[in-house]
Amino acid sequence: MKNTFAENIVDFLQQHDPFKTVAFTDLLDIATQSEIIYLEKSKRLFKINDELHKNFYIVHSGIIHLTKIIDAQETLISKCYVGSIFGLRPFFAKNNYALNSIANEDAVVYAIPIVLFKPLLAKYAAVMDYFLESFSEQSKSTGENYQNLKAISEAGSESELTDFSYFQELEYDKNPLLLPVHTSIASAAKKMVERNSSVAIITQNARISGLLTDADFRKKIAFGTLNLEADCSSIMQQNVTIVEESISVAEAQLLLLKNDTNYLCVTEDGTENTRIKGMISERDIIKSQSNNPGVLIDEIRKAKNFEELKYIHSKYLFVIQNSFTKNIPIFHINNTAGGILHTIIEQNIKFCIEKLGTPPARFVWLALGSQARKEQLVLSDQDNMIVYEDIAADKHRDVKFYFVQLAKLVISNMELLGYKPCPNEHLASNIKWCKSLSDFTAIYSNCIKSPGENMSDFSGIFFDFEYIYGEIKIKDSLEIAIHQNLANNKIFFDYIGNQLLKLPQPLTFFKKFAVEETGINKDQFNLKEKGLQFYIDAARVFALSYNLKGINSTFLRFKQMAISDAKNAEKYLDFAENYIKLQGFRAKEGILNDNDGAFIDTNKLSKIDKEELKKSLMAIDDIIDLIKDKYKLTRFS
Amino acid sequence: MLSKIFNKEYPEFWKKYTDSFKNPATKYVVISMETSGLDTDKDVIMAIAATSVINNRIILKDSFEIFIQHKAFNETSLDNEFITVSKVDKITESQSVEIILNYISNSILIGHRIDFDIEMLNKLLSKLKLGKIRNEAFDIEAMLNKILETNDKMYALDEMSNILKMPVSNRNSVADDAYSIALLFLKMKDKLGIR
Repeated sequence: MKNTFAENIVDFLQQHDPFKTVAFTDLLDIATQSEIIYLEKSKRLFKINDELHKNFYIVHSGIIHLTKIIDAQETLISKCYVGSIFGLRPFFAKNNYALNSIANEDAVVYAIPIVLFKPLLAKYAAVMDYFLESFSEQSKSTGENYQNLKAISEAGSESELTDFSYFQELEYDKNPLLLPVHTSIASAAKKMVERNSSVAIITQNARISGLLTDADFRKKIAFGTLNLEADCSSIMQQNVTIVEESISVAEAQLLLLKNDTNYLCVTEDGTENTRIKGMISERDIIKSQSNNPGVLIDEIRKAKNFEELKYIHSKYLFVIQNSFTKNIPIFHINNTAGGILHTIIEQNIKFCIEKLGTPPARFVWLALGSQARKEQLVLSDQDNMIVYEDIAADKHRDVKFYFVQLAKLVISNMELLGYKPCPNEHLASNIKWCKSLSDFTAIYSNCIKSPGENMSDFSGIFFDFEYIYGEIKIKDSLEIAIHQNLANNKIFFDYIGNQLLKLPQPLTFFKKFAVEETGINKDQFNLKEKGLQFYIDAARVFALSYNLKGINSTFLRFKQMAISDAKNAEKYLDFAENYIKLQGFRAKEGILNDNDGAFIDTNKLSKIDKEELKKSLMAIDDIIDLIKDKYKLTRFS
Repeated sequence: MLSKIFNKEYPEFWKKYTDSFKNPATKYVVISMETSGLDTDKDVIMAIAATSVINNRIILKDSFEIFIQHKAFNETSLDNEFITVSKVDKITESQSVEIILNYISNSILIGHRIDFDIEMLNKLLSKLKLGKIRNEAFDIEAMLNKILETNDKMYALDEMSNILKMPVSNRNSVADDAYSIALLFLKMKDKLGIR
């Protein structure tokens, strides 16, 4: 009988790896027996330790998150997008699921019976390869299907978890050399040589009793005073550092340094009374750090083309995500992430210059807004501008043309990485923001001297700029020009202070969140506009008026103000704290939903989070008071 | 004599169908049909597709799709030339009724404008001198109206998929419709608290 239902599924499967190569009839057979599951948001398909299902799964629509419990917290391991395969564990293992699978938004999932699928593995080499590839650590996939592969390997085996492990679990020797306590020194040495191992765990009743390393032989045997037939317990080290399984790289590193040892023993619960699970050596830690931020920057610099850059960028996103789940202070993440992102942009510009030929004049590429403030943790807008040196009038047209082209290329590449162009066109590819130094100086001094008249498309973010690439001297002279103009300019501060007061209020009269009333984000709270914007703008005003050069981060600006304006130090420190909290909310939302996290659904927050958020928003009143007071704003009460 | 009138000799499958209602329903059946038109008196069912939904899952192996052979009974209203040309296997109306009743038995029916579908089925049944469909039924259009708090607004199937942000299939047969209906039903079911 004709089965159109199944054909529908085959249609879908054929668009995705690894089914592209499989014949229609074979797929039809599988599809006829498959089931379609609908998961409402936050419903689970399987939990850790659930018995294995008879099916594996493919995401048809929506997003499935795979999570794991690390340090008693549910930690996101991988996201499965449309076409991703997950739940492959039954293929390779007999024990229960090691991950949770949760729908992050309403999802439709196809369940395909494994019994039926297995013959295809044998029949189609490409399908087999696809599955195998995901298990070999060396497989360097391209950026796009990286997430895909990840999802498979997670579901398949635990040892693959450590790809991005700076803040993650550590991979270590799960099968160390174990020697019973009554082994003689001579045979212990022999076994260690056989295994080519420099360390052995001495056990008593299958529990850790001590550690025997190369150094012990050197220190205690070489003198020849000991009988080689004696028990090896006589030369072993007795103080062994024992840790539990889910240790992170950072923790392990600390322990090694603290205890001045080269090895950590792993047991089930971190005490000597449970079964031995493995051994962590210094080497494991060095190996695991191949993805730490420093190495990433190095990789970016070595990238040969945009594709490689794209792949590294996907790693970069992962580093951020992991830092979050591990509760690293946001300020540190900001700094590291900002640094990496700047290097990515820089490398990107270099590629584009290679393509377009040497620039006709010296120039500087400046990042604006969140990118410049090093606060771009989520995939938000990109803003930038190009300033080039003054050139002869007859060449001006060609030079400008070159830089606009360059900007277009760079911006479209960045867009491919997920950074939307600024909706207000604050981009170097816009002829307004690709100008010569003297033109820009004129624009800035105009705005500062007669604010309001020329501010139509000149926004505050133009005062947050950060050097990315090119001639740094141009940036310096622009900065100097701005600060000369700013000195003792009351009108300007009066104007931007008042602009700040005009921003929409975050809380209603009854101290409820002022949520959106219309539009697609109805009932959600605009965290970007009604929360963060206050802090960012206020910090900028302070920084400009106190001439804090070279500090772009909002957090640091507040901190610096606490020093420069010691009278109100407490307030500034409070602002800094609250700002970081708000940014945390946004980044969390953004990472979870793969967007810029500007809108947040306050109903979904826990009670504690809600109170925290409100507290941070309430501090905005203090900022307003301080600004009113400082700049003697009178026009608005 | 009298008993002959009341206990009319029904075929075996009809008895089985009516008997099944002694037990509670165990599954949902999503049904979709293609008719020659919208007039329940004159038009006929040409194809029916159905699949079952158990525990939030669409069970594909438990589904069917039939095409019904018609003889022209009114030359002006139904031109059946295209039917004879088509290559799809077809069965007669009486055969199809048996298949359908066996399949749905006591389940709860789900459809898009299901009342019309049931009306068509009832007419088919009465043609064979059988009783009426006894199943409980949910109309996904009515369900959406309830969710959106709109009163008796008409929603086409594609429209509903768009509103509920469900994937739209670019195929267009009865079975594809049934598949879309099943997904929409799953999506709305939890929202309305239908178990």
